[in-house]
Amino acid sequence: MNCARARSLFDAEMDRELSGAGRNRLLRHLDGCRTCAGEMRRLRRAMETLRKSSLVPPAADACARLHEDMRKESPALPEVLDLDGLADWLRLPARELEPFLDQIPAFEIAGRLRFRRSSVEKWIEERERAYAEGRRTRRMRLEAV
Amino acid sequence: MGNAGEPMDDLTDEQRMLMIKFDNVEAFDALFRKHAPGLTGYLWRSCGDRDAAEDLVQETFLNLYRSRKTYEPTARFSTWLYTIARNACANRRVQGARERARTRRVAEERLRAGKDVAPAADGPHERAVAAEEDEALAAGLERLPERQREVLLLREVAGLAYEEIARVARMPMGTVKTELHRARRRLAEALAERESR
Repeated sequence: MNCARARSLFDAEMDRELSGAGRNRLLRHLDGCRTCAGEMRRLRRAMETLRKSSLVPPAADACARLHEDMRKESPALPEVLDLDGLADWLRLPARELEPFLDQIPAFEIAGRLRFRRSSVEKWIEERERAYAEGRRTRRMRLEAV
Repeated sequence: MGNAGEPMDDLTDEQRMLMIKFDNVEAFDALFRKHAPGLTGYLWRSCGDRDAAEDLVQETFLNLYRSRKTYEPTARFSTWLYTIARNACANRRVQGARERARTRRVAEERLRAGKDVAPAADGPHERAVAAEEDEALAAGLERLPERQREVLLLREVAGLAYEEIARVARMPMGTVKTELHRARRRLAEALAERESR
């Protein structure tokens, strides 16, 4: 391998794209050519310096500040609720909801029951319609008496 | 919000983002912890001001949270994240030359005061070495044409693949490779030049 060919492979070597025989040929060339080895070393050191001195761990309170901003942005209820969240939303104690669990739309994940608010809203609309229909029927019966 | 106790390590960024769609805060925190160091570095080295970069990272993640409901995993998450960050950075740049000059002055003052140096610098000697190294690095990056600087930072600091860089920087793949090749050599030359003085 000559110097021009070796240098054309430096980027691939830094990107860890070389392997097998191609990489071995480049490494053998670098062992025997001080100029190319020096250039490769300079490139590697420069990229290492760039990476090492540029990665910035987030401040200790960065997550907390973001949560605060997110709360301001989104005061609405989450889309997915657990049983307690659903009970709070429906203004009922959780134990009073339990007899309805076979009717309320839910899904199971990691062995836990979760409720999608939009599905529960549809279920509530159905109950509203059923209740309105029942009330209308009751009124008609009363009028007929 | 969020389901406590679910393992986060084995998930892809795209899976975490789908959990954020359903307001899972743990998934959001995991993505933040993973990407904040590289993203801050990319923005810091792009705009030259570490405080501004940290603000931009907060802004980027807040934008990500705002648009979570419309997220579709058609592209890689990092492409989406860096595109949001790049737009936030570009919006700041529009603020004008006066602001840029002020930012540069602040960055130089911070550098002289040893504030914007490598995060790993602990003792006084290490801080001095890191400050010197950092000054050389900032000068070397400043001398690169903008396209080369961007491609270099997206590859080496953000760790994006060539294809992702092409999407974020809106360049053909061939241009990404050529500009990265040139940028690496120019920066290595600039640092070697400083060392030999």
